[in-house]
Amino acid sequence: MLRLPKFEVRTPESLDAALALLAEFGPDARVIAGGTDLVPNMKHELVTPRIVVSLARIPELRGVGDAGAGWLRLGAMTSLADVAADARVRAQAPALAQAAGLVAGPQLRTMGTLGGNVLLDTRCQWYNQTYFWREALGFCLKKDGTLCHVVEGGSKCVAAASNDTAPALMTLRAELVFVGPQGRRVTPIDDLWLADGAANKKCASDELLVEVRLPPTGPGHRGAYGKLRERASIDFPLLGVATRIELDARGTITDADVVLTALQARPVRVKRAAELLLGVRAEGDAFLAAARAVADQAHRQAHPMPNIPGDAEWRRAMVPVYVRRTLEAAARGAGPVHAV
Amino acid sequence: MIVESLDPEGPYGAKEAGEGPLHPSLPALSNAVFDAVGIRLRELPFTPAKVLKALAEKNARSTPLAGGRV
Amino acid sequence: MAARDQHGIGAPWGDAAAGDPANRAFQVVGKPHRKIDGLAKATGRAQYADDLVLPGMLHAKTLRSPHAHAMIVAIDASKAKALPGVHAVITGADLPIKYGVIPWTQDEHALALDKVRFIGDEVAAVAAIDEDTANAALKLIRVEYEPLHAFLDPRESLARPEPKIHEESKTGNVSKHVDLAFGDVDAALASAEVVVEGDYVFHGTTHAAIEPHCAVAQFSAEGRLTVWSSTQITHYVHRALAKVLELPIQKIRVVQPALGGAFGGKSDPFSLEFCVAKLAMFTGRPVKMLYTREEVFYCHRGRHPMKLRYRTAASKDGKIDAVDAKILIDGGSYSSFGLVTTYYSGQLLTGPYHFPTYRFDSTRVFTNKPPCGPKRGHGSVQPRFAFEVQLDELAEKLALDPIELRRRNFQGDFTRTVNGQRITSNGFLACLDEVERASGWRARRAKLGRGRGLGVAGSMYISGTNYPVYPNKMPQAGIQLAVERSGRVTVFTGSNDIGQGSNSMVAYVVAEELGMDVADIRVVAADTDLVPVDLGAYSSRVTFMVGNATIDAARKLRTQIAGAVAKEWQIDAARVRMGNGKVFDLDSTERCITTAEAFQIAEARCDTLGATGSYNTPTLGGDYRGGTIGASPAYSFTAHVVEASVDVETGRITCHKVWIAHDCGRALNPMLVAGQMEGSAYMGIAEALLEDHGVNRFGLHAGPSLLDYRIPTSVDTPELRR
Repeated sequence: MLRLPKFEVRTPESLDAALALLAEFGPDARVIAGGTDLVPNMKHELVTPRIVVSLARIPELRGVGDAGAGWLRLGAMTSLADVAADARVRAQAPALAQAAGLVAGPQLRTMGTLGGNVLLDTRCQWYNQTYFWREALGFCLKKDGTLCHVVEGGSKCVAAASNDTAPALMTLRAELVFVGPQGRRVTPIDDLWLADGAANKKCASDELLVEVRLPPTGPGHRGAYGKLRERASIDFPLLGVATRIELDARGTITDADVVLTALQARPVRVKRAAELLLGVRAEGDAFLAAARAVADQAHRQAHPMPNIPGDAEWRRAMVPVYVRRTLEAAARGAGPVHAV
Repeated sequence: MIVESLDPEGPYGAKEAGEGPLHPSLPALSNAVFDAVGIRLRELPFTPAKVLKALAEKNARSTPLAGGRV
Repeated sequence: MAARDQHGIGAPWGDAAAGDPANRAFQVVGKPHRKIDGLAKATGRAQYADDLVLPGMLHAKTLRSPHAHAMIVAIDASKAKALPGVHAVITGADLPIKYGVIPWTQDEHALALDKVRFIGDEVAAVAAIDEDTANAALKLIRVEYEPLHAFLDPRESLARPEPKIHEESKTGNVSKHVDLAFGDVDAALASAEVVVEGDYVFHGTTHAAIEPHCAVAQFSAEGRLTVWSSTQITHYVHRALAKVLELPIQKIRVVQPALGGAFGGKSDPFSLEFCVAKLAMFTGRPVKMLYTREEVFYCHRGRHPMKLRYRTAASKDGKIDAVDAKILIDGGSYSSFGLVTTYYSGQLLTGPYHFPTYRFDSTRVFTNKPPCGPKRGHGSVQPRFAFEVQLDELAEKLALDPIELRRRNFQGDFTRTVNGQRITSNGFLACLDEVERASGWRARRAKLGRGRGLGVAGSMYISGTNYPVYPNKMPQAGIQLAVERSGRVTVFTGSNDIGQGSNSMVAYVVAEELGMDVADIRVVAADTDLVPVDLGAYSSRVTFMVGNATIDAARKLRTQIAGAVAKEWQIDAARVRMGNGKVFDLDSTERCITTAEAFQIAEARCDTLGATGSYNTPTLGGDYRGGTIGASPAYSFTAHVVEASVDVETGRITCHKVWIAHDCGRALNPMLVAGQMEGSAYMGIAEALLEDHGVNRFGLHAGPSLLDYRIPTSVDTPELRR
């Protein structure tokens, strides 16, 4: 069995105590939520913190609640299984419930948290490997080396954003609440991302993500998530598609949004989705034509690289298929789009 | 479906059972794909990318294959 | 065949000659039974190699090559040796003797001596107080390499003889070449009414057994070595240890603890077995080594990638005239079982269909990749895939139903194949009938609508082979039985229970023969200090050979016990019956004693009770070089129908159902047979759709983990109907 490098666990019982530990140990400390991303990465010696700060004993970080004015608050430590099963989330944010329900497999969703999934490290087949494996080819520019094995001569890491919940939260215009030495900061999730696979999030090491907030949605809200992967469980996305459609009382689209993930370092919004779908009734041939137009636009924007497993050309060919299918699923109030 | 041919030299007539039943799975799957969509998968593994490529090649041919119905 | 090997097929007390098709006379055989170790495994009590903890035990780790092909210029382990907690570091110079499972092609070193041949090849091993210290020491070993050209494509290995991956190869980078022809294939092809031809590709796959390889060694003060290893062939490990360590073989004991799956991946002697032994000898302390999952992918010995070209000639009514094959086999970096693989790639295709003429030309080459070896269906899954697809193409060309085509070419039973193999019982037609009926083939094939279809294929496989890996005239399977007057019998067997249930099988046989409860049978297995030799769990030989040896021993014992009881009762021995834990007089059933009482009568009248039994194959095979490889005392036959659908937009195949019919002669325990049928079909579909043991452009395994090497989860598994 792969050994975990030695480390010390701290289990603060309040947010302030956790922040104090992060301030004290700086880059030597890492936060552990469910551990489903951090622990394998530690075994691969991708991160080797001296101190691991567990958030398990801070109860206010867990659970789904009312945040006022129709907003929902989801504690960062809420398990993905709980997010997927929560009746309010399923009603108000179906794309998020579907996405959370398709992360990894049942055991991992019970351990893994929403906050952990939002802050998931980027993934690459040349990076998510053991020390021996990475050393054998001289490491890579995301960790310990200077070469990119995906893009010859590349100087910018292209490891892929691989979190299923992120694109769903982007279509929902979610806000993230961080707490740090300077106090609370609330940021739209759209502003979290950097187009750099080495570090694709604007988040300081002494900050904690404590909460995800979802704005209210009305009765005309529709959303769905589509996930491409090789098996029907466990695997990370080869492509993730989140869709959102807003309908008026007559079933005509008043707003729409489509966000893709697992293609590049950050989740990508499909351009002109709302424009192409606006004023179309969410059924029949007209809707299908509009959905195809969005799918074509997504295809033009998508340029998968051999960064994560799966044939890159096939992943690109799947972009319009999954965008169209996921839009259709949203329009029908169905989803997720997923094999099995 | 266990078929018992009672071999004269096996213990009580028994023969092998642990490896033989693996073999036909792969070609039978390829042959089922032919019955389904008229393409011959001759290269393993049957990844979706290979299936799409074979479908595209089949569609590019003018005469449809017997057996295929797409 | 010796008289001792012929046991008939009937129940011990049944009248086989008169025919008892329902075999009502069987008491244990043919009925579902739990495995004798099932409860221990289900409750976590079974002891696997890694569960073994000995006082003062050290932990060992292996340093592996980061180069696909390179000379070792120098190794400096001084810093590693100086690390506190490190007890010993060994390198190739400490274990310079070659080994390999096939005596003619021994090309492996426990640790690389002068060169490394794939990324992951073993270079040095460290024993330390714990795994972390051993790992830290590995990082302190400095190895200077001089890289050589790395061969990653078997076509290049064939075309380019230099640099040689193995200096001792006679022909460049060719590992083995077999070219055999039976009948005039060219004439048959030239005059045939129909010829189909095509190229087929089988990628590599690995076993992915749940338990990683593990070995523990202890060297006693008296100079005796004990190695506990997760091996499926104790006997070959025993021999290899003696050779490499230069110890008298009788001073070595090899024990196989409970095993968490093997599928062929634990058939070779592995580096770790020699390393823990040598480290235990150096340090005087017990040493354990457990491979990581990543290391299991490197040591591999999985299914060979093959490029296959087939031509099949037939008449218009679908009768095969000729089959012609040319096969290129990617062996990876060592020989392993490759000599056998190369023969098997051709020798095992000659059933269940009649080939009037047949030719195959198979070449195994070395590449700088993890070494290939035997995986479930060794050497024959790849050609079977190609040929059964080609048969479907023939059916298409002739507008014949694919099942009908297969029926028309059925070879029959009690016949001989074109390459000289003896076929005895053959239930292939019944297998075809079963899957045709169960799948609703006639009503449903070609009628399932857009994107959904049915496919059929057949196969045959060996029940062991009469080719013992090293030539000798001794039995291939031996059994000893010890009887205790309490009514308990202990079976001593050299066979390896790798989860397939061989320990249970020998218990069922003894219970059947002596009319005992299975719970009163103990099994001591796979411990070379205690048991007679058996050649191990490979080639599907165990039930057939060890089963026969067990019947042989149990019948001797039965004769002795029944004779003693008959004398005690002053009746004819034919009247003494044993069943349900009782021994009684058939003509006067109120005269009835327990098995234990019968044992006591026999012990008093005869001697301390025990018996031995054995099995050896009859003379088999064709009269030509290699004619015995693949020659089996009996062949199993199988037919499958698969139902699948294709999403034409995504290219994704969904395998919905597999109907499996298998001729296993007689199911000694139908529940275990069904488990093997399910497990086999699961593994086949997994290889077809997901698994790929590939390397990247550096020759490095593309994803040596169970995240990246994808085996189907429960939700990916088709419905398996058997």
